[in-house]
Parts: sequence; structure tokens; C-alpha cells
Amino acid sequence: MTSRVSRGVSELTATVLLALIIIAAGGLVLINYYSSWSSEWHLYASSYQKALSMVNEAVVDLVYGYYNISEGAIHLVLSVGNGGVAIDTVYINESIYWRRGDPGLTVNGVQRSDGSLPTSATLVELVISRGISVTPGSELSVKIVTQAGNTYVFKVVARG
Amino acid sequence: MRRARLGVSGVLAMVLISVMIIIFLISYAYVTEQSRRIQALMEERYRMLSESREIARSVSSNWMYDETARMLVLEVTNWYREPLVITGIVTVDNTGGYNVIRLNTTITPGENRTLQLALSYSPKAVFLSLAGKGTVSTAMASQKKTGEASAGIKMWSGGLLDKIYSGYVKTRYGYITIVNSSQTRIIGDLLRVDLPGTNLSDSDLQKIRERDNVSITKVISIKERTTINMTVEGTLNTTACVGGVEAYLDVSASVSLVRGGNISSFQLYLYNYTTASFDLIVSNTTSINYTGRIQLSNGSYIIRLSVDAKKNVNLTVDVANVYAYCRFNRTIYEGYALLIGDSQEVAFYGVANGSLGARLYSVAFDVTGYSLGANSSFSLLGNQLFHAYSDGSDVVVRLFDLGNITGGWAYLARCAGFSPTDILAIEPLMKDGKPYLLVAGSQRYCLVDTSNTTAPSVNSTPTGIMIGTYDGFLAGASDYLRVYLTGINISSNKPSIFVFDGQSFSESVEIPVARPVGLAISGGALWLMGDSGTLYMIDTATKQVSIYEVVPSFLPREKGDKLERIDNKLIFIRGDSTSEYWVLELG
Repeated sequence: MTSRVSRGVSELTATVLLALIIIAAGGLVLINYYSSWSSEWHLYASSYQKALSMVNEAVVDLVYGYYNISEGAIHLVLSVGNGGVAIDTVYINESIYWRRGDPGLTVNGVQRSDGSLPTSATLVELVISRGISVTPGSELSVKIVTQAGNTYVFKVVARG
Repeated sequence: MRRARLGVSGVLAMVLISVMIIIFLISYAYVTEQSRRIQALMEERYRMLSESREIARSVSSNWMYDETARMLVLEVTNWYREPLVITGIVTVDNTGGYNVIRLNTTITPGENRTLQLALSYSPKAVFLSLAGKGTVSTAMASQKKTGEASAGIKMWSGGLLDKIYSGYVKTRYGYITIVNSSQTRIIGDLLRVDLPGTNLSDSDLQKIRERDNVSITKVISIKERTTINMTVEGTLNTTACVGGVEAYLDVSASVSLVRGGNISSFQLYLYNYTTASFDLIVSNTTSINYTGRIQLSNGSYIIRLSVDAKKNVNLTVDVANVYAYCRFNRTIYEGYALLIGDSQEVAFYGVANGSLGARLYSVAFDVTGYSLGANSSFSLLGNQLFHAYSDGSDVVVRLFDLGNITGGWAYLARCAGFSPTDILAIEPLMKDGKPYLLVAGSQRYCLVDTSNTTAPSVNSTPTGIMIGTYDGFLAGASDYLRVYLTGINISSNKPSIFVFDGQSFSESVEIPVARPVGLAISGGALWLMGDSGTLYMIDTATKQVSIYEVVPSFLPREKGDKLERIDNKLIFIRGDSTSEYWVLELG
């Protein structure tokens, strides 16, 4: 009787232990699987959000522009579509020329260090004052990166 | 109990596996869907940007400035499928300064809208800012002009012709200056160095010549058989040659043994600046005499002599002559001349700042039954006007000396064997320092020496090359070193531009234009317009074709139209009876 009971207990213990081992092993596999996929999900989710904001952002096109050497300022007349655009960074010849928060950017004559442009389709006159060393007549590559992540590259000439 | 344990374990394992499969399927479906949505968003963004280009191409615009009213008159036509909003206009003045005029004007599909805007100056260029539903675009308006020249052409045709075929040649190297109101002085040549702007004469025809008469001799010590290289470098002073340089090189070289031994080979190489390597020119055993033609892209040449010998050798090289023909294209005089021809006469117009001025001069062809742009063509080279026409079996080339306007036409040459139905091109070309004319039609060409009347040989164009199109569209341009002609590559049946360099034809680039109506060249760029009105710029070095989103708003664009580049402007002359010419500021 005693031996039967003790055998029964040990069998039950073994069953429970086996079940715990399977659950623990399975749980570990699931946790590991989840952690690897969760980072990828997050990546896809943020990529989607970025793509969505890029599409929703207004399109920008350069109408006329040049770098005024005597003023030490770049003049850009931009055609901006509906939806609004916020400029994050402006590069000239691949070097950072202006960043969000920097002073020196005027939009239609008004200082705007946050880089935001009008939200309805219009012509925008952008002047960014910062003297750089360029020779008259040289062609400058101007790259505008918006806060949504869109990039526009234009060519302007240095004058004056 | 054992069975119970196995059963519990099995159930747990199956539950876990099922959970894992479900999680995997959910995550896979999620990632796939997210990827698809991101892809769709990127495609939407690309579509919007493409739409921007389409809008620019679908809007035609031109402007005129009313000096009296100080008004800018802008005519815009919307050929796009959706309404567009003109959000503003940027006008650029002669100093490069600009004005922004903000607008909010909607033009519906197919609508032609004329805007009148107050402006205190005549602009150099006008740009439009356009917005569609989701995108924006920019377009440059072309300048439309009607003036004395246009009226002159109309009067010149006088209603005698039911259709005007017009053509013209810019005398980039043959300038016209008005000495006084009743006299025209024409001076032209192709080989001009930087000279004062007055008192030019034929003796001013110059070529830059470097004759150093210096030879280099060097004893090279060799013990065992080996290859020794000797390099000679030279630089021409070509600073005045802003229009390019074409060079000829005479080299003589010899090698001799100092004492005993033997020479296995002796070679002359020229450095090829394009491939950055040496090209073998000639190989010999003891001496080399070479007279050849090289293209000096940067005014420099490098010669390498290579000798494979045993024992000491005496190596002598003499760069005997380096001739450089220099093209000079700086504007000396204020004006240019255009030739505006109809089927009977050629008229000269002064051009200042890209605008046609008053008619200065005219020459009648004195032959009837020929149509410019078809079986008759003309060209200006220096102070001589050349006319080519087919008399039914041959092409007759005549010249008119503009320095002696009472002298009339003189016979120059006859190119035999042309078909009477050949459309003709006649373009000037410098070869061996002398002015020639390339006369080309369909599948034949001849090179006419402008200085003698010897019958030129008529050659067939290389297999696969046809000048002009099957339906008679032909446009040509010359930078005096090369002639560019449009035609068909018969092998591929594709429209192309062919280049004649004085020696042979080659295909320059395939073009996206089935019916070219204008071709102009300036500074290494070819400007090409097709009958659709789209303007292309072709880099002659890289052969890259770029589209300019500027379409003139008139129709039709036809045979006999001409395109020319003057300074930073393109001038397009219509060949029909409207007598219009259009100016496009290139900025």
C-alpha cells in the first residue's frame, strides 16, 4: 500500500515536472520569438508611419533661387503644395547650412526658426542668412530635408 | 499514470506548438501587410512626383511685356487633365534679382487664360508656380515677340508665296556691324585670335603655330636586352582658344646603336587623355617619321618613345611642328546676323540681346522652283553666302560674296549623282585649317572646298545612316569642327543625330524625336526640338539627353522651322506664313 502510494506520488511528481519543463521550454521559445518579432514589428510600424507622413506632406518645387554672396544668404522661391511642410535641414554642397532651431531663416520675410512653411498651396520666399565661402558663378547643390523625411535637391548659382 | 503523464505532456506540447504557429502566422501576415502598405505609399509618392513633371509639360505659357502700359501679359494654356492653380509668378530682372507675384488663379483643362500684371521692368525670365490636386510644379514661360522683323518677313513674302519656308544661319564667326545707316560691313573668319574689335582684315586669319625646332637627343645606357621608355611632353598656349582647339603634330624620331648590340623594336606612342593610357602610333626598327592629327583637349601632348634594345642606344626625338587651329567665339561686335529666307530671297537681320532688329540686307536666290527646307538650302560662312540646290541630277553650289553685293552669284561646285528628291543640308566646316561646306542629302554627301571650283567627290553615307527622315524632316547644326545632322539609323530604324568630323560620319546619339524641326549647338550642348514642341538638350560629350519642360504654345511645328542659340537665348523661327519668331530665355 505504502509503496503504491509512494509510486503514485512519484509518478504524479514526474508528470507535473515534465509538464513544467514543456511549459518552460515552450515559454522560452515563445518569449524569444516574440522579442525578435516585436522589434521587427516596431520597425515596420515606424517605417509605415514615416512613409505615411512623407506621402501626406506637401510637395515642394524650386521656382527660382540663387546664393547672394554679398548678402551671405541663399534665396529660394519655392512652390509649396497643400498640406504643409516643415524644413528640418538645409545642406549646401552636402554640408549642413541650416538646421531646425537655428536662427537666420525667414519665410516670406518673417523669422521662423522651426522651419515650418504655409499649409496651403502658395509661393514661398525663403531666405537663409549664413555666409559661406563660394566663388561667383559657381553652381551649388542645395538639399532640403523635411521633418517628414522627404528630400529635395536643387541647383542654384552663386552671384554678387 | 504513465499514460496520463504522456497524455498531459502531449496536450501541452500541441497547445504550445499551435500557439507558436498562430503567432507566426499573425506576425507574418502583419509584416506582409505592412510591407505592402509601405510599398503602396512609396508608389503614391513617386506618382505625385511624376505628376509634377507631367503638369510642367502639359502647361504652355508665353509672355510679352508692354512697355507703354508697364504690364506683363502672360498667356497660359492648361493641357493637363485636371484643373490647375497658378499660385504665383516669379519675374527675374537683368541683374538676376527677382519679384514674387502671388496669385490664386484656377485654370480648367483646355482653358487658355491671359493674365495682365503690373510690372515696372521688362523681365529677363518668367517662371510659373503651379499646383494640382496633390502636387506642385514649376514651368518657365517662353517669351513671345512680334516686332519689326516679323512684320518685315511678312512684307517680304508679300503674298507672292502661299507658304514661307524660312531658314537662317547665325553668323557666330561672321559678324555684321553697321558702319553707318547706309553701309553694312561684314567680316568673318573661323580662325581668329583675340584681336581688337576694329580694323580686322583677311590678314587677321591666323593659326597658332608652335615651331620650336628643338630636338632632344639622349644616350641611354643598356647592358642587357631591355625596354627603355623616353617621354617628351609639350604644352601649347591655347588660352585664347575658348571655342576649342584642333591640333596636328609632326614627330620624327630615330634610334641608333652606340656600340654593338642590336635593336629589336622601336615604337612611338601618344598619350590619350580620354583613356588615360598611351596609344601606339607607329612601330619601326630604326627611325620614325610621323605626321598625324591629334585632338588636344587640354592643350597638352605627351609622346613616348619605346625602344627594345641590347647595348647602349642613341635616341633622338624632334617634335618638329605642332599646329593648333584655334576657334575663338568671344563676341567682338555688338550684333549678330540671322538669315531669314523664303523660297526666293535671303534677308539679313541684326540681332541684339537675342532679339531680331531691323532688316539690314537681302540677297535674291535668282532661281525658281526650289523650296528651302526641301531641295534647296543655304549657309553663311565668313562673308560668303552659299546656296545649294538640286537641278534634277546634281546639286549645284553657288556663292555670293557679301563684301561685294553687286557681284551677284558665282558658281562654286557641282556634286553629281544626288537624287532630285533628296532633301538637302549645307553646313560649314573647318578641315585642315580651310573652310569647307558639307552638302548632304539622304544617303549621299560631298565636301566642297570653298576656295576652288574643283568638282568634289560624292560619297555614300555609311551603311545604316540616312540623313533626314522618310517624310522630309531634317535639322542641322555646325560648330565648325563637326557637323550634326538629324536622320534615321536604318539598322535600328530609330531617329538619331549623326556627326561628320570632316573625315567620316558616325552616330552621335539616338534621339527621342521622330520629326526634328530645329537643331542648334553651343558650348558642347545640342538643342533639339521636335514637332511635339518638346525641347531637348544633348551633351555632346556624355551624350546625355535632358528634357526642358518648355513647350511653345503654337502649332504646327513643321519642316522649315529653325532653332538657333544666341548667347543665353534660343530663337525659334516658324517656317509657316505666320512670320513669328519666338525667344526662349535659358537663364
